[in-house]
Amino acid sequence: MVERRARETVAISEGIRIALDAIWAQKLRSFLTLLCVVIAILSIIAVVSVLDGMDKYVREEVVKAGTNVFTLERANELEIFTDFNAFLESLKSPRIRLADAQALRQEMGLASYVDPGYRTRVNVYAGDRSVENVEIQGRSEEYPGVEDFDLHLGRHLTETDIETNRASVVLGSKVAEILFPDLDPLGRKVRIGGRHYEVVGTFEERANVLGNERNSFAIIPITSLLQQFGARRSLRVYVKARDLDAFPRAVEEARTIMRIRRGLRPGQKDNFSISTAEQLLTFWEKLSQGIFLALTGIVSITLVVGGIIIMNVMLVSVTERTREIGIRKALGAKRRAILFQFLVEAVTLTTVGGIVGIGLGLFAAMLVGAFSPLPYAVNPWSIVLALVIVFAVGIFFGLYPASRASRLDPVVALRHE
Amino acid sequence: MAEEAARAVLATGAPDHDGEVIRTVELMKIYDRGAAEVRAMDGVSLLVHANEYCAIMGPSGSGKSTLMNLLGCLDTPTTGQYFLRGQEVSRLSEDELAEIRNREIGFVFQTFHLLPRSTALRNVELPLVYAGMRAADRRDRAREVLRQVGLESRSDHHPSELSGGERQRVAIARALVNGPSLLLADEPTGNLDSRTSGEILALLDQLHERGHTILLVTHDPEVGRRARRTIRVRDGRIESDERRG
Repeated sequence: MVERRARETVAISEGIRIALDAIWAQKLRSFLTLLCVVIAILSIIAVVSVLDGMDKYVREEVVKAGTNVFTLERANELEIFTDFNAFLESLKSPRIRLADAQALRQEMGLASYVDPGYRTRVNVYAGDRSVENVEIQGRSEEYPGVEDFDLHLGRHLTETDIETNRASVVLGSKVAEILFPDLDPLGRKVRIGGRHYEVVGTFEERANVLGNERNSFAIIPITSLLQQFGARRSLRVYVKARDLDAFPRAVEEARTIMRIRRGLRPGQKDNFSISTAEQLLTFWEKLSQGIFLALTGIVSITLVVGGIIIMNVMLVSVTERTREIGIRKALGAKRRAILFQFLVEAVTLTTVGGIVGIGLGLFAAMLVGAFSPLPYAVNPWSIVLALVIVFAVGIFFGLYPASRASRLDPVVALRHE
Repeated sequence: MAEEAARAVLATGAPDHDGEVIRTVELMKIYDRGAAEVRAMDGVSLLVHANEYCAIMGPSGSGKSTLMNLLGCLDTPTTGQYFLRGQEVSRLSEDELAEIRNREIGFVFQTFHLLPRSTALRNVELPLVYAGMRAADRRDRAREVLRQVGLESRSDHHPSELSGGERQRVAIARALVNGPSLLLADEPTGNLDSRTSGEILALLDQLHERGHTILLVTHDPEVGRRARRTIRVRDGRIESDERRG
């Protein structure tokens, strides 16, 4: 037993040594051989890390947005992905009006803020300067209660702004910078869709998500927006529950009020949609699962291709080293020793590929962390997983060449040129 | 002191002088080549005692390579029996034969058959690797045998950095390292010039004097004359078997 273990340890260290020798001796071939494995492992590490980062990000954002905020709207946009027919059906529902938001605000006991909103995109001008395709949000004075908006200069919109349809605007940092590079924007006029608005405030810069520009926006009173761009629009109403405990009851309260307003009988389906952060999280979880599955598929294919290449390279290597195998057998190597040697060689090959892949993957994840707002997060199990995978690939695809080598007839092998 | 130790190493494993090393009974090796049947070995019975120095001679195609492979346990006979040091080895499995080769037989080949990417020392260590010896012991033993063949200073060289004679001496060291009971040399001077050949043959003489049993396969009468016994093979049979004092 002790002797056998000693023999196997000898064979492993010998095998690793031979494999590293062979890899070094054939650098280009090794590189090409390992490319697939490297790519597969790189994608595992990188994508798992990015997904992890996105996951963290989404959760942080949801928490930041306030887990006790829900949204009332005509159609649930998440249904585009989950139930498209239901989504199309819901587009026929009555629109959400300003009056609905006002009713919620007056009648809800469990809400601390109710903020109707609508978004559109137009160009914004100031003098000879312009910013194209700015997101114009019509909101009520309660918007800072339902979403994080940090002021940079000036003030938020006020109740008076809303009630009097005043032409006031608070600019996103990018719009303010472009329109008023060297000037104090407060009190100046900007032209939004043909109407002049007075700048009453500007926002702090917000972090961009996945290349999504989040500072090219402006907030105007919802009343002014409806007046200017037409009132026949369905709004989205953001409701903040008084506290987290009251959240589920607040959702029910809003639903009941809406059903009464719409005159829905018991048993009739809601003809409006209430979405919560939890739904968003569930949706995100489904989405990331989908991405992960797709990744698994791609990685599997790459690994199979890589494995087949490695198998072929190993077969070539066995042929090239037939005489070496003959010599080893003549000197007393048993079948198992030869099998083991070539298996260790294959596993060493894939493991080297795996380690390079892990290194590049970590680097890629680091780049993503450095150049995007996604947090840099490398999951340790993705590294373990990668190593297990390359190990398995090495064994699986090394087995056939190794067994071919081990079954060579020593007489024939020694005669091989 | 060093000389004595080295002598002890070389003598290790060499059997008693009057022991029987090889006994074959009617060895047959028949290759089935489609319709034709090739009798590469056609009933060879042979007895070789310890510390004999035999030359196996014969023209190419005579069956001397087949005989060499059979006696070296690289191949098994179709029929007949082969006793190596009293143990019947003609019906052993491939792995059992590998173990016998590792323990009992030292090979010296015409083209040296060294591993090109390994140093002289690593080459000599190889049989010990398959014997399962620990690395430190292996290295010590391999160094000692290399010293015996006069190559201690070359132990870290690769075969490509060695001359033909040096390579063959590494191969001989490798053949000796496990203390085999039989040294099988297949045309050991076939790839060497006459001066180096002389050196290698002198080394073999020396090993014989120290108690080793040597089987030398050659077609060169000059080389064959070094042995005390000459076995001539033709058409898979022993044609003649002469001993000289």
